[in-house]
Amino acid sequence: MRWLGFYFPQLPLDVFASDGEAVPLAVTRRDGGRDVIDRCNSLAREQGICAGMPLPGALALLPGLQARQRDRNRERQAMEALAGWAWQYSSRISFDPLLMLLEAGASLKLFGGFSALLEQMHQDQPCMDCLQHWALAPSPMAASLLARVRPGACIHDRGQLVEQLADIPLQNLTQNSRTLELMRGIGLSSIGDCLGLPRPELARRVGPELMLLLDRLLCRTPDPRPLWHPPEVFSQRLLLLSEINHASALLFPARRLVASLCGFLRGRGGVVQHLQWRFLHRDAEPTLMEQGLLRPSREVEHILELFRQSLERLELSGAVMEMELQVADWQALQEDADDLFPCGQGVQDEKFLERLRARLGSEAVRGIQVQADHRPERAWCYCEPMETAETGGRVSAGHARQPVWLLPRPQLLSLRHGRPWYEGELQLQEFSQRMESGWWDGEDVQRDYYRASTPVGRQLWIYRERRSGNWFLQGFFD
Amino acid sequence: MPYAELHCISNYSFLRGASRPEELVTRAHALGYTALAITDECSLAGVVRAHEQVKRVGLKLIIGTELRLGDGPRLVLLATNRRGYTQLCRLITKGRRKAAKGAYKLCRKDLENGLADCLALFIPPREPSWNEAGLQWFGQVFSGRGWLAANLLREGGDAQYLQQWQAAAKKHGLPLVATGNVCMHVPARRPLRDLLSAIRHHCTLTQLGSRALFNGERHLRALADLQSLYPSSLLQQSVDIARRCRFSLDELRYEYPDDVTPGDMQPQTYLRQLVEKGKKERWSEGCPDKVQAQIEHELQLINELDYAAYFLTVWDIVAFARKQGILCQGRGSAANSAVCYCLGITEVDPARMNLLFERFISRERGEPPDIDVDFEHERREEVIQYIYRKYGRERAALAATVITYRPKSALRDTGRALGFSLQQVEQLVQAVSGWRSWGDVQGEWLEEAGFDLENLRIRQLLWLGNELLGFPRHLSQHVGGFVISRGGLDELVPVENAAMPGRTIIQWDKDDLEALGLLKVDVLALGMLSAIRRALRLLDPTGRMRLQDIPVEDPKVYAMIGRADTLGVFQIESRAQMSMLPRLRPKHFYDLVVEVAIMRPGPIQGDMVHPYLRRRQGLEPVEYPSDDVREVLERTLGVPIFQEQVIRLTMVAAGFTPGEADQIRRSMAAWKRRGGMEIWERKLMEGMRERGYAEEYARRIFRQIQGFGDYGFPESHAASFALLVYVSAWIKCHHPAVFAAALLNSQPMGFYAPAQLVGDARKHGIQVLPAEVNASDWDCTLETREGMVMLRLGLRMIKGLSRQAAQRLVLARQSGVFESVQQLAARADLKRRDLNTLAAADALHSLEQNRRMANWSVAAIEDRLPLLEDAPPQERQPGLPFPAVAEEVLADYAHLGLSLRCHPLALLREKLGALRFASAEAVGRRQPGLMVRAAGLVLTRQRPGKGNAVFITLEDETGSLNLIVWRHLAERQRKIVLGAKLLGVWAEIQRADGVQHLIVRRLYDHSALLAELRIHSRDFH
Repeated sequence: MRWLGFYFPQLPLDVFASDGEAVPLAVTRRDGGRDVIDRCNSLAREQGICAGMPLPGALALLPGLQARQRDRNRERQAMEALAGWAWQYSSRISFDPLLMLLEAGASLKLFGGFSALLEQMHQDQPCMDCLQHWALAPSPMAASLLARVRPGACIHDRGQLVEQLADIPLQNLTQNSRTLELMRGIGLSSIGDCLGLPRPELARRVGPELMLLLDRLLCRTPDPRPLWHPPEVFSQRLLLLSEINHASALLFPARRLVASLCGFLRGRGGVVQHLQWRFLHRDAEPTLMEQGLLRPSREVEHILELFRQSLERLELSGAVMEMELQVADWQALQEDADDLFPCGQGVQDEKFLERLRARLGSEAVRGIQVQADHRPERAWCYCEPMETAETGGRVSAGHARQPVWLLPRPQLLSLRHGRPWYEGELQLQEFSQRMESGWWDGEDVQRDYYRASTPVGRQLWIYRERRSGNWFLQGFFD
Repeated sequence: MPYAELHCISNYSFLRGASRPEELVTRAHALGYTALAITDECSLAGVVRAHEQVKRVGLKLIIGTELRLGDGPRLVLLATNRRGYTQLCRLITKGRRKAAKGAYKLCRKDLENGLADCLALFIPPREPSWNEAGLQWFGQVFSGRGWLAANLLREGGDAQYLQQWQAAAKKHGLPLVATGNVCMHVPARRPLRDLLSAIRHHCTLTQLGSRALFNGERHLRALADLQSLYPSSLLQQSVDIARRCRFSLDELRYEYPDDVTPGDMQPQTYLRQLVEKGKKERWSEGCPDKVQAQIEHELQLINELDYAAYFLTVWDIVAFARKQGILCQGRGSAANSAVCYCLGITEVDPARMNLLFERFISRERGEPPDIDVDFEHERREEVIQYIYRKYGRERAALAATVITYRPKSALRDTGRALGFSLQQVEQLVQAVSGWRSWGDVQGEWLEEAGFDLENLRIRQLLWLGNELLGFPRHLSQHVGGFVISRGGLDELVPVENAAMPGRTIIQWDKDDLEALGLLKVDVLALGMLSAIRRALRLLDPTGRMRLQDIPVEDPKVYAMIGRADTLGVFQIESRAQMSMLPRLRPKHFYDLVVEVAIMRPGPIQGDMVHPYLRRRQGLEPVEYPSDDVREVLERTLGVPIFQEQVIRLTMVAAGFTPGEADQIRRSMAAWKRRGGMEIWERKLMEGMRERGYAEEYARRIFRQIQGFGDYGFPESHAASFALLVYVSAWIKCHHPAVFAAALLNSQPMGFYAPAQLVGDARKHGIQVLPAEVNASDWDCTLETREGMVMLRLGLRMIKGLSRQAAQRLVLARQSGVFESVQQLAARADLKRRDLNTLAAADALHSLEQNRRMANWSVAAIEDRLPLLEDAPPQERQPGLPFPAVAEEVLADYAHLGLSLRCHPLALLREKLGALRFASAEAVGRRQPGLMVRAAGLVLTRQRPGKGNAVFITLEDETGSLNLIVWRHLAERQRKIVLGAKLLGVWAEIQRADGVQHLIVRRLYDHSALLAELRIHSRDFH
């Protein structure tokens, strides 16, 4: 067996460097209740930042340091993406932390030797310089170790293993504190030192784990590993028997794709919320259509009905020859999310909304939501329909006596004879409230509100800005 | 129309009130209010400050509290008289003691009885409709002394509210009164109040929503404004209520407990008896006439001021400690009196010092006597528990310490509330770290840290962060200030729980106590007393040797001090002190008193050190501008050094009354933070001009007083400390091995780490033996071989070894020495962890060839399996090479904190030589003024005072070097200054009076050499 190990030490940083700016960057991890630097880029290193430094200390040294917590999720995704790429070279892929291991025995034959394989991989690599740290060894553990410690090492014969690995410090192989402390205490440090000690005596002191580790490292015992499988993405194309010119005619063939998707989801216990449709033309760029659902679903008729409504707004750039349905991210069905009585009011509302949005367009249908702020013009905002308000600051009690009909922005009132004017001279009816709030966002208001009436008896809600003395119209009581 | 504000919280309702009590009082007075009630939420923590301020401005203060009952409603209680005040204190205590620190729990039932002398205001909820059950309950309980508090805040619907309240009040037979629900003194504090709310709710300001103030009306409003809002009858009610509240904190009379006095004897009689008895013990051959007269004088004064019970209480605590063999020593204004000497409270012989008792207790000033007692730091808790036992929790509690916002905490909390990210908050905190931890935050500091001052949020941060400075956050316990009373303490002040289980604190801090003339005893912990007690025990194993048995005024001791050979000696071991000693060359006890007081920020910043030194060395004439001044300053050569002298000077030279002098003393500490010394400056300058002092002299005196604002040290404390200086110096001088053992066994304490203490002992010719399982006790011990006293390190020196394990080991050894690791493990029942620790510290020397073999052997010991002592399994030896010296030394440092083999730098000397770094010894031989390259391990880094320089101490195998790094250089090479472990410098030698400093011009980080040493020793990290 030949294992090819790739080590990606920069990966935790790379997942953040998307903006590509040249700034000192570091990722941190929690260590004993503190944030410490896990690793950093060269720009940060040049200015004295190093791994293991507590975050406050690092920031004291380099205030401009960009520090992010390590995001294992994104790292895993990035690793999987790499594995997806590497799948073409070997179907036996395994992971160690920040390491990808390929069983390359079969590929060596296919590509005509190791250097040819490696060259091919380098030419084809998904990102610049990401394959720098590689090593080849007969055991996965040795490949993993060498890729980290001695990139470029190439061991074809298991007989060379001991010799090649002897002077590598043991702490690169294991973090077991009992083992490391003993070795430190007796003044030894390398893998070779360890192999030189009487075996039963050593095993008695550090336990059997180290022995197993060394045996696997040196191919003396098998190292079975879980193999990676690529994720299942739904993607299906359908070649149409005859070209279709009218969008509405797409409904019929779509049923096959939707039915197929729902079968796929059913088999995996999944549901879907976003669908991507591509309609391929003979001479034009494909037409894309995104279809979203308010609730994840796998019901053929439901999805089709929404698809039908979306079609009414679809403009095709030509006749459709082929159509494709893709679902990149489907999610697991949560049993409790299934409503026992699917005809309940909530579901009815949602279905109505889905139809409304499909017909008028997503932007035309909006929800409205209260926001906890004393200032009327900030006391509400637009939101997704059916979205409920965040819990937190309650609604200001001061709104109780305010009119419901508010202007989007307060309107400056002109003065005539020193009195505010709106469709005539205004009569102040009663003092309403004094409002002083909002300094934190730079828009501190200081207003005295009044109820006022126009000559024809219209009831207005107006205020006097206390700093400027100007009058504004805020809303109507009618 | 007059008005009294009856519902007003200060910033002692933590994170709710946005104004200081003083600000509220001043504002209420300026607006012409008839009275002001401070009604902090279930707390009286702010009332003493308000009380002091009303006395200054002349306003009536009402003491009250706001409460939110668990089962509703909210209400305000006001004390009408002394009884009502006690009822209030008891209720608050009840609510606070039931809940965790900082919280309280009260319900309706708690208020139904026992508040006969309090008035109550019902705070109606601001809702259109509310359940009136709470009001009904209130009407029944507070019938005839309850009101409905109408607070009109212009938040909308004021007219409807008023109608609604009027109807409700009528229904339940309650009158209405106007209140303001005040939380700030001026509307400009609205942003600060919003900030406090955000901090309290752990949210950002934008998330605050309706919890932000609706407007700024909750301030102390102008009378005309109130008149336009409220019917005049409601305003009149407030004044009527205020008239019914007649209590003032001045009425508090507080008596010291008389528990100590036997039977129905008068405390004064008993005190005299004890003094007579003590006198005979102190002067077996008859008391000198001068002292006798002094005693009579003091007793008369104590009698006159009725302080006998206080002295007896302190005597009782000290007597308890003595019985338990706990070493203690009193200090403070009254401690260094002949009476306290006779009572055994202090060992400072009045005959040995020219201390005038009256200087400390003054008849005119009415200032309470102040006695602090230091106890061995490891045994103070026994004393505290004795006090609780004797007086009960009802009568004894610790004073509070008010924890206030400082730049770091202010920026942290303000930053979070303004929505800065965690990382930005961390950067902000960094920007004010170190020497910037006091005083206002400067904009340029934030700029340095990369923040843009043009940014709105940064401007808000700077403005609000600085507003927040000095605001109280919570109450904590004072280090040891006990208040003990004859009756229940809760008649005087509310008591609440401290964070530490089993501790209770009162709601006042030490300034509050002092302002009201309440007595407290400070029960403090002092490490040096532990060390001295251990030394006395080593010198006389029977335990009979006492402090007073140390021979006095030994010239050899003074000679040693003059050489600055004082590592480990109490107080004078710091670097600054050591550099002073050769110049000061103390010859007598009083010189030590001066020495203790002079190296303090007060005298240093007041620029008193150098004039004093020059005069002492005869380089400058000693002059006095008048005989009055001569009398005050003669004993310190015309330079004010002690706090008492400064106070006295204001009286004799500027004509301050004793009361004013006392005020100036108390406000000194506050000047820095709150300002307000301009009045005193004017008064002092005028007073001195009138009395014919030169402008220049007056200015200097004022500067010196200002300096004391930072920290002045009283002579009365210095005298007690000086005694411990002398005693510890005597032990070091005559019994260096005893001294080292006593200090090592009292760690952690003092200025130096064990490595330096051991190094110093070896420098004095003491042979030090390593910690070893077949030789060491838990403590360090003395071994005598062929007449030589040697110091054997104890097992306590081994890092990570549990005391229990060590004690089992020592016990097991009594039945014979250990012969193998297996035997040791079995007989002492040691776990593998303990054995690992012992092996790593090389304490198995008598059982194994070397440390490596010891580590290998103990690793085989299993915890769980029963040990077959007779049949250890046959093992092959691993054939380990011998450890290198470097490895041994580094392991010693890692596990013992020191090495008896050699200094790590000795191993690097060759390399350092190649880098042209000289040793400390070689530097000492060079001429001052020369430039030199030197290197060493960094022992300490300090940035004292205003941070103009960083002081670094380096150590190598030949000695230590004191570096001065000026600020501009420290900023430029900040990374190295803060981070280097092995530091190299290029510096100029300065040397005067035998004191050497290196003025650093450039720094080099050579920590990598240490790492190499590690790699060399085949170590891991």
